[in-house]
Amino acid sequence: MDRSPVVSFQRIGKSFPGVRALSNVSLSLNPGEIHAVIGENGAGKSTLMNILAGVLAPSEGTLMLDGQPLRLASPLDARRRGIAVVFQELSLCRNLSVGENVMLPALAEIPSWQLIRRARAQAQSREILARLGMDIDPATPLRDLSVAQMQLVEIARALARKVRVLVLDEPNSALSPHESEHLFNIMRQLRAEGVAIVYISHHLNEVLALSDRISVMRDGELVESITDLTGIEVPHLVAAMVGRDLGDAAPYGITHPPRDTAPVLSLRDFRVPGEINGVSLDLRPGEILGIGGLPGSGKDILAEAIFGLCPRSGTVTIAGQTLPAQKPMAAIRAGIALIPADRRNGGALLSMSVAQNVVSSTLDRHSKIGVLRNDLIGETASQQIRAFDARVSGPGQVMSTLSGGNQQKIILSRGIVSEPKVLILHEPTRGIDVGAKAEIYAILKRLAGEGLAVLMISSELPELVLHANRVVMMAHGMVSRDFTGAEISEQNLMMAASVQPAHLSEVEGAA
Amino acid sequence: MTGSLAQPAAKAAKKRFLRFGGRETGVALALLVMCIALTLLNDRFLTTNNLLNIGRQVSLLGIMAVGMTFVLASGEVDLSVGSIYAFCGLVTGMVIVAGYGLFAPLVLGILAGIVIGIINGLLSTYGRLPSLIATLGMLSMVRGAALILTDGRPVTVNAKNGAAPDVLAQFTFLGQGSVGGIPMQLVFFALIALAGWFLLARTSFGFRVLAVGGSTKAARVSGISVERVKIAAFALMGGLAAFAGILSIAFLPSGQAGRTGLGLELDVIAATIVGGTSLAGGEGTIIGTILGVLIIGVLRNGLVLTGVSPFAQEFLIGLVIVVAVAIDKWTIRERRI
Amino acid sequence: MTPIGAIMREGMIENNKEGGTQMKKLLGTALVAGLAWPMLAGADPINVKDFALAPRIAEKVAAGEELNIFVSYHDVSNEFAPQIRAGVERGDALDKVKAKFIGPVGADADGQINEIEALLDTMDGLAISSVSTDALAPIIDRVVEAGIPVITYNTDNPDSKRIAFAGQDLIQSGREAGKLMCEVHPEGKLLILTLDAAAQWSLDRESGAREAMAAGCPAAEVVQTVNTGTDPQEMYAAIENAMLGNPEISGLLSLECCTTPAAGSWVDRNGRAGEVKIVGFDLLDQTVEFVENGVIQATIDQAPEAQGFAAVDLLAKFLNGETIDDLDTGVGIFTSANIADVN
Repeated sequence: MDRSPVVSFQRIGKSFPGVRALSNVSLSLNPGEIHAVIGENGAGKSTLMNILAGVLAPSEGTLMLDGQPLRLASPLDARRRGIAVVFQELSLCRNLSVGENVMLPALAEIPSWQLIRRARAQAQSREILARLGMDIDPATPLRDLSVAQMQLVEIARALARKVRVLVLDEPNSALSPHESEHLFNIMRQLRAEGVAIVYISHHLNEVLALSDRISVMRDGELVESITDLTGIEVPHLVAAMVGRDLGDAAPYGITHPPRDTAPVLSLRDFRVPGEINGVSLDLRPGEILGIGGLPGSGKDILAEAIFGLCPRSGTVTIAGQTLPAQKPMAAIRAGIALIPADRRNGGALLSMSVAQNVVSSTLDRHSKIGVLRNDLIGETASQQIRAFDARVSGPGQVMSTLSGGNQQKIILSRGIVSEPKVLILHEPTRGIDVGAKAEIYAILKRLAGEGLAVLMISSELPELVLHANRVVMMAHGMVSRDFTGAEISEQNLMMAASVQPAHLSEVEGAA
Repeated sequence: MTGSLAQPAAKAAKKRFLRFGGRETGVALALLVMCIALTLLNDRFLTTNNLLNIGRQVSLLGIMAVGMTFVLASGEVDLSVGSIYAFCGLVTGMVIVAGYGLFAPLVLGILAGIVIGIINGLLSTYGRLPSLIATLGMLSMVRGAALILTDGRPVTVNAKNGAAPDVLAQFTFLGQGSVGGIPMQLVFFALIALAGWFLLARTSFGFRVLAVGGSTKAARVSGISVERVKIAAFALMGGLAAFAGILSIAFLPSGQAGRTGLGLELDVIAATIVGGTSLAGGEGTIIGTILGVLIIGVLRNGLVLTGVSPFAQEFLIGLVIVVAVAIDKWTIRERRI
Repeated sequence: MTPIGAIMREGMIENNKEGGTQMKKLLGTALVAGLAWPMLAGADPINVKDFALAPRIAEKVAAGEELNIFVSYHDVSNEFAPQIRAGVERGDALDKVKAKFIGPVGADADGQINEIEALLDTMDGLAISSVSTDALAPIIDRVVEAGIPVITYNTDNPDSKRIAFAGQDLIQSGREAGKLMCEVHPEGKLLILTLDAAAQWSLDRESGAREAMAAGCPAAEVVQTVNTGTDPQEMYAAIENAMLGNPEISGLLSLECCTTPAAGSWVDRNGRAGEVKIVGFDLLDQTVEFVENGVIQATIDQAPEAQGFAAVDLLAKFLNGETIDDLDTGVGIFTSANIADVN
């Protein structure tokens, strides 16, 4: 087999305004090889794959295909050259059939005036699906499939045309262990056919079991490329991903509140259908409790479910009082403030002013018989702008014109104005620049110091390690482990995150 | 020293968030240009009589557009308003003719409108139907109900059909009378617009409407009951459409279920959108809506005054709607960049 | 039930086909004057022997069974529909006739066609009034080819294979309106008002009216045709704007039911009764009041109830072997002299 690389990245760099996402990355993808790329969120994996997919153009360096410099004009261009990228988010058309979805890129290239040869397309899609071991009628509507099956359809689509490089980004996050094993067999088969496979995953055990080569990225750089995997174990990979200097850093300046304080928020047998399978948690005043976990672990639905934005079962008590499900106003009244993950599409009222955003959850207090007390609103807003040191031109500035960090401060201030007992933050610093991040951590620390209970749900391990005084890791919809004090290290957290479900139930049983 | 400097700055800042700056200036400018052009083209345009006529002619459209501002700002749309207008006006007329005095028929008519609005709201929220579909169905159902109720016959409120003379006099005053030379319809429009402005700009209800329309999720996170706010907006719309329908039958004491208010919903939505209210929700002001209504009214009046052929009028009205909204959208995009 | 002595004009003959009416507010009730003009593009007299009648219908007639006659109206939600329906119901009471009033809500040619197609196998006779001649002619021809007799009523469809027409000639009724206008307003400027200037009936009446006025009173000048739209408020506003734009107007000629009272309202409210002459159509409540008060000088009634009845009657006669011909249901002309006869 020809072992010269199909694609090689040569000193690739990519800058966005204000951010350096990639610098000096050199990598080769060889035919007949599974090449794992691992790293923390924000390490630059996605940017690198977007460059390979033709979505982004590199700022520096060259991409080579078969030893020739390659300039990809578009994702379609990449696809034509045999580079297929299967992203984590499904990009299927739910209204079409399975077969049509598989053949979509091919069908989309047929000029509009030409007829589609349905029978032939069906036969082809059936063949491809069979290759993936999917015994499914191509005429089945996609919406009838499980998420796992959809993920395979996504992969089938990539195989619908000649593939030389196949990138799979977290392909098994929605798959059961059995389904994952099936997928791995398919990957091995494709490797045998000479395809160069890039495998991006947080599940380090699987990475070790499957890959021929592992590249570790951190902060936009390639830190290590391991070709000889003998003797390599998970802790080594974790250390490489996290960086030794950060790995052992102890949480600074946070003293854990005494364990015997009465919890202000308690979850018992908390469940969300299909997402969370029975979680019990206690949160005490003055505590910053971090929640971590991989995508699909259930942590991403936790905040909204507690607040009442989606159906759930089990009990939530706040300061001794049981909270009804799906009643956000009751949650606010009981003393919960939620800072959702998605500012643009959930946190901020973008078309409204800063002042209006500050008071939107406390309208009753800021109005008299339904009439807004604008003087009071202005006062509250000015006060909060000062308290949070938000850089805005005034209370009247439209929210959409603020930077992410300042938007987040305003949303935080909205929560604080409602005088909560519990502050729930979901990805509190996503998309925020470094300076504003530090300010937000300082604010959280101050609030906890004043006796507020803070629940911080985050995908950023350093955030959890450095700014929480207790961390609960979730996996497969359950609590994997609870860490305090010196136990909180990125290695420990990551190990707990990628624990196998079988082992997990043991832990649960023991607890 | 610093205190005296900071004080006025803070005040100015406080003042600024009360007003949505400059959103309506484009529409106002367009209206002004139209008025100047018509004044130059026709010496009858700028007369008290004609201006009062325009005011009266746009009043019913305007009353409904105030309601539509709330519905659109909350992120929904109501296509059933023309049918509500017909149904409630005809019901009121029939009950007056049947001899139930004035007050009861008026209350009944407006309540009917509110109830239909609440049904629209329930279907569009808890019923999870897109409001476009729900109110499209109601458009047909309510007009059908009006046809069934009247058996397709015109309803005329006059003494011959049984209306008591004093009731008739009071009822027709609502539609045809005037106060100090201002037609009653215009008086009602002015009062409703004022109340609508206050409700949207100055009350927590108006705030919630804009918040819900701006981002459903953010509104929920703020503890706002999205469903209740939307249902209330639909109810307000229904009540106002009913009131406009009642004034209509009080003005021309006759209506017919197959004809009254036919296609009116599109005029109402067009006027509201010309006034800068976003079809996507979250944005809208009553001042803008008033300007939008006036643009449509002045245009119709001006085209007839200047003797434009009826077919060309249709074309020009459509053109103005498209151009007005286009200018608004294009300038906003520039402002945001 | 009071017979109406409608104004008799030259060339009119008595038409006493109608017997009476059950409805209180029927317009142009019992006796309606007809005009004896040769129908333009009229159909020839026809007997069922000359018609390829479907065997199933012939059997029913022979067996003396009840005949299903459908009367399709182009908009069952407009103001005339209840009156036409009343006429159809009167026809339904005829011996061995089952008459049904059908049609779309809101003028909708497609809806009308679909309904007829659906009922094709059950109908023994069809009477149809259509807004669009071109759109409806093919379906009329198909029904005829299926061996089912079709007549038109109210609005004719001369391009189709219909066997007869019962109703008012639209161009002719426009001419009548034009002549009346000449009588009350021999000179000066006037406006023509219509709620749908582009509709065939409106175009026909307008051309008839313009023709009659050009011949009868050349000193009268039509300044503009005002297209008012269908909503009452819209109509009033359009008239108001047009009158403001043309202050020298001294005559208003309305082509239909609905702008007639709207024009009356404007003239009345602006104190110009008598000064601005109005000729219009139909007998809506308000129109009757305005004729009584002298605000409207004359109005032309098209006797919709009589048209509905005639449609059924004509088909029943045809199926039973009588030779039939076009039937003019006539126009009734009402002025302050005879308006008291309504009701």
